[in-house]
Order: sequence, then C-alpha cells, then structure tokens
Amino acid sequence: MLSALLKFELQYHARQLSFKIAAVLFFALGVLFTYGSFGGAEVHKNSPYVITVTVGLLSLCCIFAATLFCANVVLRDTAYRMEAVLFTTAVKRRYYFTVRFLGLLGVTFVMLCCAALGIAVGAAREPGAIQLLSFCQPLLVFGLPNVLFSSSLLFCTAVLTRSARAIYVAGLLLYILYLIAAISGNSPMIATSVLKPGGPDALSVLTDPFGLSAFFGETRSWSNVQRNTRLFPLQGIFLLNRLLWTGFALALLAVCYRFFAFRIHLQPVKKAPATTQQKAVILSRYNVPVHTQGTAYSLSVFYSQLKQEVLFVCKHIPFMAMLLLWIFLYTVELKDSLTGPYGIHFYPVTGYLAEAMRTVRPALLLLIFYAAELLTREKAANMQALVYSTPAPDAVIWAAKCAMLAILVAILITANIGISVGLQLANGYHQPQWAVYASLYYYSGLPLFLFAILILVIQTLTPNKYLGMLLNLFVIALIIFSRRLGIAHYLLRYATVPDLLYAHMNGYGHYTDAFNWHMLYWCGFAIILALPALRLWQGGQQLTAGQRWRALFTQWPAKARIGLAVSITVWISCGIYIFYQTNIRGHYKSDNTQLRWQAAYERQYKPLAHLPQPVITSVSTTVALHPEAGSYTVTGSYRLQNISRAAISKIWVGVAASVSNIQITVPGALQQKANAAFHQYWFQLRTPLLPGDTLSLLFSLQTNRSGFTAFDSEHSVVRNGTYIELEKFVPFLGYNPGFEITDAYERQRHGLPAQQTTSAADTAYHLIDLETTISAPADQYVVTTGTLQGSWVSGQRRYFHYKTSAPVNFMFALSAAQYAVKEEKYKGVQLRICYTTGHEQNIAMMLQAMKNALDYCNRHFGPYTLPQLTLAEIPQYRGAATAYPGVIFSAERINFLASYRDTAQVNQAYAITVHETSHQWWANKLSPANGPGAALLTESLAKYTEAMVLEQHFGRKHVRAYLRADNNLYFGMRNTGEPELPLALTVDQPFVYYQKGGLALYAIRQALGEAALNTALQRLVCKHAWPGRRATPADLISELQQGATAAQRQVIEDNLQKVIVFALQLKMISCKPLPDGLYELQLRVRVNKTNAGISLPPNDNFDIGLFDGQQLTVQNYHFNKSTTVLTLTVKRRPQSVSIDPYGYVLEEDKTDNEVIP
Amino acid sequence: MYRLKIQQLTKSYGNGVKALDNVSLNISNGLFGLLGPNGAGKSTLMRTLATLQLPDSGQIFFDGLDIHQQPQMLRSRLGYLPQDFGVYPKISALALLDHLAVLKGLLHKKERQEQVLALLQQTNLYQVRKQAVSTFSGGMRQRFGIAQALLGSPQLIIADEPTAGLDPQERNRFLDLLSEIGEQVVVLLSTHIVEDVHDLCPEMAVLAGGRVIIQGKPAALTAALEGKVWRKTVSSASLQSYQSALQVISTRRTGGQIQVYVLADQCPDSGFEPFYPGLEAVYFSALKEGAIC
Repeated sequence: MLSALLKFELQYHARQLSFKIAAVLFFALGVLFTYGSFGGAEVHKNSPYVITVTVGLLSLCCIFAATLFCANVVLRDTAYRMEAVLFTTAVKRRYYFTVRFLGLLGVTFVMLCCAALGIAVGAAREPGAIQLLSFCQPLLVFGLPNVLFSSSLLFCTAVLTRSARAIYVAGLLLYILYLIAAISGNSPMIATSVLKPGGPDALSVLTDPFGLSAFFGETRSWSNVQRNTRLFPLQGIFLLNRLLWTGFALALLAVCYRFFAFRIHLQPVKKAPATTQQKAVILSRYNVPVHTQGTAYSLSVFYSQLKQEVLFVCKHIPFMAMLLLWIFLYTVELKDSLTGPYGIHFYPVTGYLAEAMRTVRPALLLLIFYAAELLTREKAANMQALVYSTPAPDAVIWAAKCAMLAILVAILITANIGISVGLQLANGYHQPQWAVYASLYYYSGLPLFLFAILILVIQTLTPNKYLGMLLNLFVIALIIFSRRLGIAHYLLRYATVPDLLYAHMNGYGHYTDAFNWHMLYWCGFAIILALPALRLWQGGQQLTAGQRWRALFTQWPAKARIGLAVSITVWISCGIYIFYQTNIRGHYKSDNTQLRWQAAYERQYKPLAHLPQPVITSVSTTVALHPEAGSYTVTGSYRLQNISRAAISKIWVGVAASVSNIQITVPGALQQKANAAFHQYWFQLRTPLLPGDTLSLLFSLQTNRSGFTAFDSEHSVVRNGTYIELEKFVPFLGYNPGFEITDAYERQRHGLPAQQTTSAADTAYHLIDLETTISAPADQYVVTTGTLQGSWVSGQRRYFHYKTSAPVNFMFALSAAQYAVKEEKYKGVQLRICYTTGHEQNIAMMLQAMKNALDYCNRHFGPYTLPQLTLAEIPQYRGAATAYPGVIFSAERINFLASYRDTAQVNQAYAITVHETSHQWWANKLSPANGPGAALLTESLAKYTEAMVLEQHFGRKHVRAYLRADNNLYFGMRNTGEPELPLALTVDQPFVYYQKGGLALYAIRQALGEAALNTALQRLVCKHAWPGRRATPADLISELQQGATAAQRQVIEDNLQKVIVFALQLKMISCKPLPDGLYELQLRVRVNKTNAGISLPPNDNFDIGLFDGQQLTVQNYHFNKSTTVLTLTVKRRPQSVSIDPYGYVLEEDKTDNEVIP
Repeated sequence: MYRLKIQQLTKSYGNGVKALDNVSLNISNGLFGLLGPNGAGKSTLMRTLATLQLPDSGQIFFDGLDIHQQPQMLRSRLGYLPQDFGVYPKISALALLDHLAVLKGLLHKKERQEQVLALLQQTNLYQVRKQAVSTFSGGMRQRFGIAQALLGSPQLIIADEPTAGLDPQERNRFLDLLSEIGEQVVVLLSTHIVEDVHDLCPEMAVLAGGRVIIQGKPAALTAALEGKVWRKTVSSASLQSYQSALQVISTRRTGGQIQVYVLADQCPDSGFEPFYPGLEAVYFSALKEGAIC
C-alpha cells in the first residue's frame, strides 16, 4: 500500500506545472554555476569542489522549491476541500503522513539532482573527466541532509497549521534567518567575512544546519589540486553536524506526527449573539442612485480598495513578525557599517547610513510574496464574483494593489530610517539630516517600486500563483546578476542604476542627474509593461487564452491609448538621451569591449615600445573645472628633451581613453597619422631632435565626467570635492604599459602571453618643473602639487596659480572643494589642512601627525626639501589617502568623520597622516625603479615609519594592537589561490607590501636596532634620491646587510626574500618558589617555521615577556629546536608569561602564545 | 416590454462540455424562474449574464445595449448573488458591505451608510454587523450575499440558488423581498427547487443539457399537462417493466412502495389514477422529453 500511495504522490507532484518549471530552473542554475568563478581559473568546473559549492548553495535555494511544493501539494486536500473525503477513507494516518512527507522530500531532492545534471552538462566543455562519485558524494552529504532539514521544517508547518501562508512565512523566515545568522556569525560562506585563524570554531560549524560553514571554512585554504581532486571528508565535527541536523529533522517529524490530527481542521466559531427576528419591512432605502463614471468614482473605488489591501497586509501577525525581523536584520547590518577596518568607529553621519541601506534587496522577496498574495486575494477568498461583477474598473483595483506594494516599500524604508535615527541617537549623534533621509524614498523607494510593478506584471500574466512567484524569483535574479551574465549597460538592466556613491562633502553628487534620467526611462518602460498586462488581467473574469489575446488588441480606452503613447515617447526619448550621453559623449565600453580594447592596444603598440622618445622636463597647464557640467578642460604645454644617444625624428603621443576633444600640436612637426580609437598620434619632426635638445608640445583636452560615464574615483568632477589624478589624463609619450590587461586569466582568454614582471631598464629619475593655473567656481579652493603663488577671482571664477620650487616626480593630482583652510608654519614648512567646515574633530591630531612624521623623517632619513606640506580632504570613495609631492589627499570618512575618542584604539587619522607624510620620502624623494618589489620601498617603508612614529608618540603597548591587527589582516587575505611572493619580489599583493611589509620591517628593526636600520635607510636615500639612480629592493637589502651579523642577515633574508610564517606555542611546565624568595619557571616552547608551506628547522630569536601586573620584562632567547624547555629564575611570581609579547611575528594563531601560571 | 434579450448563446468548455447550446430567452420586468438539474448550464448562463464570462457566440442585450460590448453599463445596474462565494477574512459585515457599496458607485457617504444599514436590517444581520463575515454560518452568509446584491439600485438582479442553505422562515422573507423588488426590475432566479418558482415567478424556463427545453408561465404550463399525468402505486419489483413500457416521468417512494407518474393522453393501464399536475410534473416531463429528443 505504501509504495502504491508513494507512487501516486510522486506522480501527482510530477504533473504539477510548478514542478516542471522548477526542475528546468534548477537545471539552468546548475549550468549557470559552471560559468561562475570558484577559486580561480585553475579549478575545474566539474571538480568535487565546484560541485559541492553548487550543491551546497543550491540546497539553500531548495528552501524556496520545498516551500512551493509544500504549499501546492501537501496542502492540496485543504485547498480543494478534500479533507472530509480523505480522512474518512481507509488510508491510515501513518501512511498518509509518511507518503506526503516522502513525496515532498523526494521532489525537492530531485531539484538538486537536476542542478547536478546541469553542472554535468555545463562542465562538459571543461578538461577533466566527469566522475560519478564527485556528484554523488556532495548530493548525499550536503544535498540530502539539507533538503531533509528544510522540507521537514516546512512539512511540519504545513501539517500543523494547514495554511499556505504560514508555509511561505516559514520558508522565507528560514532563508532570511539563516542568512542573518551567517552574516552576524561571520560564517565563511559569506564572501566578505573576516577569516578567523584556524578556521571557524567548532560551535559555529556544529550549529550551521546546512553544513556550509564547515565546508567553506575548511576549503578556504585548499590548493587548486586539492579542490580538483578531493571530496570534502565526512569526518570529525562535520560528521557530527550532519548527524545532529538529520537527527533534529527526524525528531521534529516525530513530534509533529504526535500532534498531527488526522481530522478536519475546524476554525473555532464565535457564537453569534441570538438574533431577534424582525419582520421584513418595505425596502425604504432601495433605489439609491449610483455614480459609476468619472474621476470621483475611480478615486473612491481606489481608496476603498486600497484600504482593504492595507488592512489585509498590515493586520496580519506574520507581517509584523517579518517587519520585526527586518528591523533586526538592518540594525545588525547598519551597526556593522559604522565599523571599519582596524575597528575604526565612523560617526553615524546620515548620508553614509542612507547609502548603506539604499539598495534593500531583501525587500524584493517580500514584494514577490505580497504581489502574489494581493493579486490572487479575491480568488483565494472566493470573492471574485462579488468584486468583479461590480462596475469598479479592473484597472483601478489593480492600481490599488500596486499602490499597496508602494506602501509596503514605504513602510520598509521608514523602518530603515527609524533604525538609522535610533543608531544615531544611541551613538550620541544628534544632527540627523532629515532631507537626506527623505531622499531615500526617491533613491531607494522608486527603483524598488519599479521592481514591484515588474513583479506585479509577471504575476498578472502567469495563470498560476506559485508559478508566477517562481518566475519572478528567476527574473529578479537575472536582473540582479545581469552584470555577471554579461549584460552591463544600464539601458538593459531594469530599474538598475550605477551605485550612488555618497560623500558627505557632495551628497549623491552629480550622479543624481543621471539617476533621474534612468528613472524616467524605466518609469516609461514600467507603464508600457503595465498597460497591456492590465488588458490581459483576468481579475474575476474567466476568459480563454484566445479571448484574452483578443482583449489585448481591442477595446483600448482612449485614456489608455494616450497613456501608452506618452510612455512610449518618454521611454524612447529618454533612451536616446541616455544612449547619447553614455555611449557617444561618455565613450561607453562594456567590460568585454574594454578588455578587447586593451588587448588590441597591447598587440598593436607593444612591439613599438622600444622606440626612443624624448622625456618631459617641464609641464605648464591651464585647467578649468566645470563641476556643474561635470567636465573640465586642460590646455598646456610640455618641454621635451631628448635624453637618448640617438636623434629622434618621430614623436609618438597617446592620451587616455576617457579624454575627449583632443588637440595636440608639436611646433615644427607634421602630424603624420593618428589612431582615433586608441588616441594615438604621431608627429614627424622636420629636423630630428638631437641628443640633449629640447622641443615643446602643445595640447588641449576636454573631458566629460558626467554621471553617465563610468565612475572613476581618481577622475571625478563633482560640485564639491572634485578629485583628478591629472597626470594620468594628460598626453604621454610612447607606449603605456598601464593599459595592459593584468588579470592572468583574461590575458590568456585574449591570447596574450603572461605578463613579465621584470625590472624596468630605465632607473633614472625624470623630474619635471610644474606650473599650473587652475580655475573653479568662485566658492571653491583648489589644491595641487606646487607652491601656491597667488589666487584671484575674476567673474564667477576663482583662479589658483601653483608652481613647483624644485623638480618633482610627474605627479600632479588636484582637488577642488569649498574648503576651509587651517595653516601653520612649522620649522620652515608651511603646513596647511584644507577641510570641509564641520569636519574639524580630527584636524588637530592630523596636524600633530604631520609634525611628528616630519620630525622623525627629517632626523632619520634626510631633510624635507619642499616649502609646504598640504593635506586636502576628498570624498570617501575607496582607500584612505594618497600622497603627492608636498600634498596629501585624505578621504573624508576614515580621516575626518571617524571617532578616535577611544584612546585604547589606534588613532587611524593620526596613523594614516603619518603614513602619507612619510611617503614624501618613500615614493617622492626616493622613487623605486618600476619592477617587482617596488612597493617594498614605498608602502612597506611607509608602514614601518608609521609604526615607529606611533610607538614614539603613543608608546609600545599601543603599537601592539596595531601590529596584531595587521597580522590578522595578513592571514585573512593571503589565501588568494595565487602563490604568495616574498616582499622583495612583491607585485599586486597588497597584504604583502602593506601588512606583512610593516611587520617584517618591524622584525628587522628588532634584530638590528632602530638606529642601525634608520642609518641604512638614510644611506639608501642619500644614494638613490635624485639625481641618483632609482632604488631597487636589492639596494635596500644590501644597505641593510652592511655591517650586519650572520644572525641579522638571516632575519633580513627571512623577512624580505622568503615567505616565512611561524607557529609558536608556549606552555608552562612548572612555577616553583625557590627558598630565597625567587621563583623558578619551566616553560616549553614549540616553534614551527615554514617557508611557502615547507617546514624549516628554526634558528630564530624570540622575545619572552614576563608581566608582573605593572611591568613587562622582555628577554630575547634563541631557539633552534622545534621544542625547547626554558628554565627561568625570576624575582616575583609573574601574572602572565608570553612569547612574542609585542606581536610582530607572523603567526596565524596567537592565542597559544600566553600562559597564566 | 422585454428588457433582457438573450440571443443564441453558446458556450463550451475546453473539455468538450457544451454548457450552453443556442440559448435564447426574452425576459421582462418581474421574477423569472430558471429551473434545471445540476450541470444544466444555469450557473454558466448566470456568470455570462454577470459579464464574468464571455460566450463563444450569441449576444445578450439589456435595455437594448449589448452587455459584452459595454460591460460597465450593465455592471452598474447589476445585482449578482453567485451560487457559492466567500469573503475577505477578518472584515466585518458592515465594513465589507460599505466597501462593496463604494465599488457599486454609492459615492455619497450618508446615502451609502443609510442603505447599508437598511439592507443589514432587512436581511436580519444588523445585530451581527460588526462580526467578520467569514465567521458567519451558511445561512447568515447567504443573507449577506443577498444584501450586497441589492446595493445601489440594480435593474437586473441575478440570484443563483439564493435559497440554498436558508431555513424556511428566512427563505420566505427573502422571497417576499424579491417579489416586492421584482415589480420594477428584472429578477432572474436560478434554482433547482420547483416550489420557489411555483410560488413566485410569473415566467419561467427549464434549462437542461445547455438548452432551453420549456418556457412559459407556470400556470399555463401546468394547464397544458392537465389530464395527461397518471399515478399508480407499484411494487419495486415491477417498476422495471413499467419504465420500459410507459413514459414514466418520475417515481416517488412512500412507505416502502413506489408511486409511478406516467405521461399519457389516456389512462395507460389499470390501477392508474389521474393526477393533477403541479409544476414539478411539468419540470419532470420536460426533462424527460428533453432527454428523449
């Protein structure tokens, strides 16, 4: 009997349209996943790793499939009122329960199998044979238990409540709660999670019902070979996890079976009060006139229907529950957005909070759910005959439902604003900017509402409610992930706009303009979608497909026709305008076109790279900024000098792709040819330029940086806070290797050879004299490289004349904003901080940092030669700050709008300013030769200086936290799949030249002593500053090794030329009091040293620190065995003993470095 | 003066069932009874009249206007009580009736409230007006349906099985109400209870298998059958032979025996007695003939 019933159940499932569609969708998702990038190009698409990732992630999506099947099939007796019949048949309770559940479990699992099939099909193009085991194992280890877990939860909800809505709510809650738990619990499944040393802890592995935290945590450090060949082992805590959750699911089912009543579910009926019989009276109020035409009628109907919808949605407990959940979720999310790297506390400035909650994607799930509920509401209540036989126009009722979704969006945004204001008050911030909050209804609400219309249209056109929801999920996912699927242009991505980057200086800035146009464009499109959908809407009518189709083309009321015509006009004209602004004026390139352009540039011009070209020795420019139009112009001239040994007869000039309206002339030369696609120009000199001779080149450029162009944080013209790294957007000579594709996979895809990272042959400095006049609207102040010679206002514009006093590197970024300026003369240097009024909190600290850093560097590395040092605030886009000769551009949020009142924490505004000031030596004074390891001479040395000045200013204890944070960041970021290079060879691995660089130089300083290290650095500066030869990592190493002992040489080599990490462990064997009042400590120290994963015998010195409650005593010991027993005699019983007490040794797990006797 | 003209209405469903087969009817003010067994196509006809469904062919005119060309015109003068309906959950009778009144075009607030309260009184729901309709018993819900059908000033009232689920007292009250209103408007009463039609309707039709098989005034239809219906009490064993030999229009069991009603011009056999035909006999004989045809 059981098997016959089960067969019927499965066949019933298989007949459902929703089952077929879901199967196709899961298959498609499986195929789609093989196009994703999992752990790099080296991991095969049919490897156990990729299959497990896919099965694991899709088993989360199975929650939706199971919800659908559960509501559709498990509840069919209730929905079709079959219960009375069924429960009186001979079918036993046990069979009924078992069969229904197995049916659900079976079909949900089939979905995962479809996805696995999809992978097999999608991966057929890949190398590596398809192995059955690598499909079966993930399906059985992850798939089945996960499906069992989610379907048993949903099944129990279904059986106990017999309400489809309760099932949806349960499904949605399960999904959202899991994600929240994953995000707030810092699960390794979430891409942005911070890596904990040693992987996720046992508790978090155990409590993850889907087992993904174990998988992602463990495999994060797997090599490509492991990922290609190894199945995820079912052992240890992971095995326990699987058993635990399978057991939980079974126990849940057992409990549910116990309470499952095999009876008709009766609603408790409230006893109606006894009605007094009344005699039928003559109908006195019959024949009341009705008005069923005109606006007043439509409005009344709309209002009354909307009232019904609002009551329906809001007077519902699950809605309240969902809203509470929402508030919880976003409180966590927003609270997190106030904490930056290194534990920085940002001020809860309204705009940044608003930015963090502008795209509220989870709202789309709610919209899909409620769109389906609202549209089928009359049908579900069996009330359609009453409502749709009234003269109320279908369109008005539809509009009321649409308006309800708008209200829902507004409720969510209001909730977010409430959370945000609450957070501000809780943080003692009392100036919420209400206008910025109000603008969220537009910037966040309108795109969501446009999505709501699309969702409603799809739901309207789909005959089956559940199918409509599934289709909606699919379409929304397609839109959200369209960029990854290769559709990047915003004209093709429904209601999607470029990220609106917020800056406190500039609000949403010039992007708002483009946003408005895109919204108008999509509003037009939404109406074009909605009007025919309305014609096809069934409402209460039961029309055949043919009748609906006819209705689409006939009986359009005049108003609808006009509406459609207007929308089409608006849509097309906005489309044309946006296309013109983006593609024609804005030189739009899709990601792929951009790559092809880069590949073509390299192929065409790299062979010519050896052609000798003159160098630029002086630059003179006039720049006019036009923030209101989002554009700027540059006119200027170069002085070129032939420094080669041969005469040059051809000048080859290029300009960056984002610059338009280019005019270049070389007096005394003929423009020979030009390539407009690559902005390349050749000039034939009438008389060849002899060695040592000079020549001038004139140019004028105009660049459009409106909101329709792709945002470049280094090239932005905005109303307040313009920042342009101008040296990248003025003409250059010869071949520009900066245009080459750097990503190895993309290079291979475009048929380019792997990039060679050899040191540049040219190690000479090419310094320039710079003179520039920059004009901006009269309320702005402009900062750039050079000394301010003068500033004047003419007409509506203000002019700034800058000139360098000594030759500088070819670097001249500029910023312009409504700056307030704080100036101070310090030891002959004019210090200047340009900031926005209201951002004064950290200025004193930053000024102090500039002074301290100047003092330290002047004393140890050589004198500062420029007459000024300026720090200018720029909007926060990414990064913290950038240094130019004599100028530091400092991002507002991390430096100006973060709170460093907590003195236990490192003051990052101070640290960053020290770091950037030290770049005046480590980049500007001493420029490294291009090539591997160049960043060691800039960023690592700046990190070292930063640590030294911090230590001097705040003390060694303070620096410990700072070093520790760097250590954690290094270990969190280093598993990229690429082999890690040592510092002396580092390229493209910021965690090496920033975090490791700082720690490594700190370790060298510990070995050599600060004085010896600084003397070596001073020698390096002396030899390799202009007019000397630019420095290489080898120069640094040889300076360091001068006069070093063998042990010191090894430290230098280990830190700079190897990839050494340690694992230290300290254990207390005994702590005995000696008769003379002293104490004898016996300690066991384990040292594990590896170089790029290969074990080395230790031969190193480490600090042992004894803390007696007030003072830390540090002693250095040598270790040459993996286990050493140390016996120390101390005067007082220590409170704690630790190895590496300052925390500069690169070590993933530092928790076992300290013991308490 | 015919107000509602149904002309050659045909409708078939996807599964091949012909729900309406060339139905033509002309109906004037007053109650019009539509009798028919289950599955005769009554509800399809009602839904088509309520513009909730389109026919495959044929037209319906109300006061000279084609209702499927201008559904809005009809709906603003329509009162429709469907056979089986539900309501939004958790909404009181008063609020729901008020909402439906707005949809029907009662824009004036005071007038609307007066009518809503009057109708609640009339259908004896005034005491429970603040209770959710979804918690009503079958009879109460049916009365609510009647109340909403009378909102506004409907010129065409379509009541599909309106007395189903009402107790005899309620049924009488409702029928009184209908006949009172029916003097000025068209009331289409679909039912399979012969008595309802007999008691109230000056005009009637019988629908079976999607076709109108008989139409006229109940009195005239019964008069036409007078002297043609015969009755005999027989044993259940001999029933078979009677059914094959004679035109049996119906049988009725009483006290273990069976009464056979036979249609014949003369006394068909010994033991048959003449029977004065009621509307029920008309209905059964029509069904019989319809089936034979």
